[in-house]
Amino acid sequence: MKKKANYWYLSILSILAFIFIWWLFCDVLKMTKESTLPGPIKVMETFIKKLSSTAPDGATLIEHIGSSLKISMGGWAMGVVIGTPLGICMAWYKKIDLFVRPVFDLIRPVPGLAWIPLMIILFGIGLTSKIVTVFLSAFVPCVLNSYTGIRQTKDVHLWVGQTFGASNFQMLINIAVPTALPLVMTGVRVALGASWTCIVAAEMLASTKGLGYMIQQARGIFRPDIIICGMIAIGVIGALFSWLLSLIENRIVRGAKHI
Amino acid sequence: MKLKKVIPVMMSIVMACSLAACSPKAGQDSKDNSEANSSGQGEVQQDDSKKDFDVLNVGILVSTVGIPALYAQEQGWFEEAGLDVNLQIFATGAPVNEAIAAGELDIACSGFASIYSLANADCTYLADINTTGGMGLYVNPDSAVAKAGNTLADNADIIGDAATVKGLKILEPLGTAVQYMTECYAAKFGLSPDDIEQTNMEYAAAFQAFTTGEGDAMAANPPYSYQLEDLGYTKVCSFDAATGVNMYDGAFARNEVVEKRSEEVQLFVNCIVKAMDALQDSDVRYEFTSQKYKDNAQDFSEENLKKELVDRTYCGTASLTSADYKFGEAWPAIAEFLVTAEKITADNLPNVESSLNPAFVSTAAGSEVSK
Amino acid sequence: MKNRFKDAASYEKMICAGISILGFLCLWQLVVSFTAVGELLSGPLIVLSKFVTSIAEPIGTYTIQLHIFWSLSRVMIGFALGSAVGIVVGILMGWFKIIDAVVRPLFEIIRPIPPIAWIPLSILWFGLGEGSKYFLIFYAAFCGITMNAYSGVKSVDPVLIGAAKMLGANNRQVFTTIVLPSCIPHIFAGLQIAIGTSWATVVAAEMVRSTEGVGWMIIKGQDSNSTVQILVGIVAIGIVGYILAVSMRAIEAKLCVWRVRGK
Repeated sequence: MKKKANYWYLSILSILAFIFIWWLFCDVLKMTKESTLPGPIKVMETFIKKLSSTAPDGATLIEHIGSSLKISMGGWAMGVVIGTPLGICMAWYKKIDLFVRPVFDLIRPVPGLAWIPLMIILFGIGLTSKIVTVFLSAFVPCVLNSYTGIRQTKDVHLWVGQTFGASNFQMLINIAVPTALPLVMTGVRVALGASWTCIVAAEMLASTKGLGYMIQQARGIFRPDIIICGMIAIGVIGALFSWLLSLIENRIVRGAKHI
Repeated sequence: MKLKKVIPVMMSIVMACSLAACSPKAGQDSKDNSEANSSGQGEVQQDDSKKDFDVLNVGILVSTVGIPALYAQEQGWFEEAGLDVNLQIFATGAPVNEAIAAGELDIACSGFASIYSLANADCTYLADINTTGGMGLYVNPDSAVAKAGNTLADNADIIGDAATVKGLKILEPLGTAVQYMTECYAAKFGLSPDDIEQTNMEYAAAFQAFTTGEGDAMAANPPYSYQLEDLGYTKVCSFDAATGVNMYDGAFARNEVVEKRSEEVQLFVNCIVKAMDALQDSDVRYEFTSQKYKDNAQDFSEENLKKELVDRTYCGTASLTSADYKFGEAWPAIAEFLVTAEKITADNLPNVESSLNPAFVSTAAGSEVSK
Repeated sequence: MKNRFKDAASYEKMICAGISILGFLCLWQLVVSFTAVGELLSGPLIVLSKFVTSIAEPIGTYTIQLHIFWSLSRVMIGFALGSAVGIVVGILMGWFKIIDAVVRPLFEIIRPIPPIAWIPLSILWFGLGEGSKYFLIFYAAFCGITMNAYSGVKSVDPVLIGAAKMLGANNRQVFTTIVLPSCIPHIFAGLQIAIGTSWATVVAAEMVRSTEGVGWMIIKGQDSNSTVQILVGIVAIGIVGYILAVSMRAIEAKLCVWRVRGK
């Protein structure tokens, strides 16, 4: 218990120390110009102002965050719903694996950013094209993790199932999927991180709101304070996401262990 | 026991310091270096008369505004003047501003986005380069805006009315001249930027999306504005009609460069003015521009380029010395508009006025050019 | 049903891969030929022939293999730096509780920020040249590897450490003889992921300002509405990314023989 408290103490201290150093360099020693790298006080001021003000990009910070969340959640949900079953099928049915895998392996390395021009052509400039861009990066970890998860099923367990007369499909649902659950959850968590990271790219595609849009708009008009605000917002929300999901994951995985 | 508690705290601070110092410091170092370099160059330059100028980094766009610099380089005029010019090509004005802020560029020939450098980054406006005709806001001829027709008594060139313009979804690259035009257009009907929906897209993507039925309007620049005209879209306003200002794209430099390397800046401006004079010959200009556009995979057709030549003229010696020419006259008006749009802070507004310096073009043109 | 997950024979794999890729291309061609998409999108024949001809005919100022080479050289430098730093930081974080407490919160906040969001700051810090491109790729590789090295150290079997300690090993011996070897598979998994993310970051890195590279091909293709060029860029990224992943796996199999055997 005492150790745990110590840990938090140090973590908070380290963030404070980081801000202190930043403040020292920018606000006290004035080693940078405010138009290139503003200090933490300026960023903090901008952050507070941006909560209610729409200048200079037409929406408040809350609206930007809301819009980004909508896109990333949409893409993530789509990735999980399509990616996880695909990964499971690829691992369970050899034929699917043999035919889907090569195309998947070729498409996988292409980043969301590269798809943007094509997304405009295929899906227009509305919400769909942004969600699909996010989907492309969210679905890869879902496929890979559920694939690996299923492949971890022990043959012995399957033989037992077979001995008791389970059909192929019953074995998949009752033996392989529960085995794979922890890794499937990992996939879901990684996918959430990936989909959140992808929003800046997705919002380069015709947008009017969003954190990525806010960052892009602040470029070139000498508002690095807004850029840094946006980066911090992305970072903190991303960290929150991964923390939340690992909590859920621990729950589910522990449950799985008990069964 | 106490010591044991103190050690981790100390260590954590040291670690955090080194970690935190890592990133900003790296940048600091490189910037210090570049500053040291440029001040070093300043000294060298004073000792020797010519040929010893250090590299002058110039950022340009591949559009009308960048052509004179490219022409001067191809003709070898920079070398003749003893300059060592390194031209760097950018797609849009926003990264040019970033590069100026980072001290990576000394001079830039850029468009509308220059205003942000003039307002925020200690820059000096050196020269007007070209007029900015050919921009316009386009809608589908069947749309309500087009059908509303002209409703403004004082401005016959503008189509639309408040009811139809409100809520219009307009595709355009934000932070450029067309955004200024669009917002001025909305303001003509008493609408604020919040009343219309401006969607951020690069010209090429916006053109493609708009012509396949996305959005209600597109704010376009040549050559896309010409292509939209060819496709039968209705032009609801032009830049001049909406804004009422006579804008030029131009060249600007960092103050530090202007102060320490003014001789080079003067030589550069001389070369640009000389190039603009040479490019007054439309055959020469057509030939050279089409060559450069082709080299940089810029989209254009023969007719559209010819239109562009007419719409965008260079501000050569003849224009500079004419009686009604006023140097950089559009910038203060634009800056005031951007203050109301909250893109520039009011404290920075005076910077724009004071950044205009006609001394260099006056010398180049051989006669006093007024502000 | 002896061994459900036995891998298919390699000839079988090759044939199926061929069929599936061909099928994909046919589908693409059919969509392009018979639907409205064809007006906007180029078919596979045009794209692949452009890909092949660009080996001899330059796109922009370079031929395609030089574009790939440029991008690869950027990725390799960023990846090498990122993985070296990432492994060290990850292991230190995993082994020393204090370092974990101090570095982890900062790392967790920085990690979700995508490379493109770093572009403005990287231009300010490293300029427009290669430096900022290396930085972006370094950052992408670093984030992936640190996490894996960290979880590698964390997942060392505590029974092993306990046993070693009981037999009289000191902290350093435990670290070098037990922790380091057992986190190597994790580190390799991290390298595997990081080479993928580094390669994917090349498009973002080349957005900084470039005149060559596969990312440049896509960006420039978008500027000039050339879907052929965009698709050639995407195909190049896909193929090279695949080759990188396969060769990384081969290196892992060579270096971690014991692990493959153990499976």
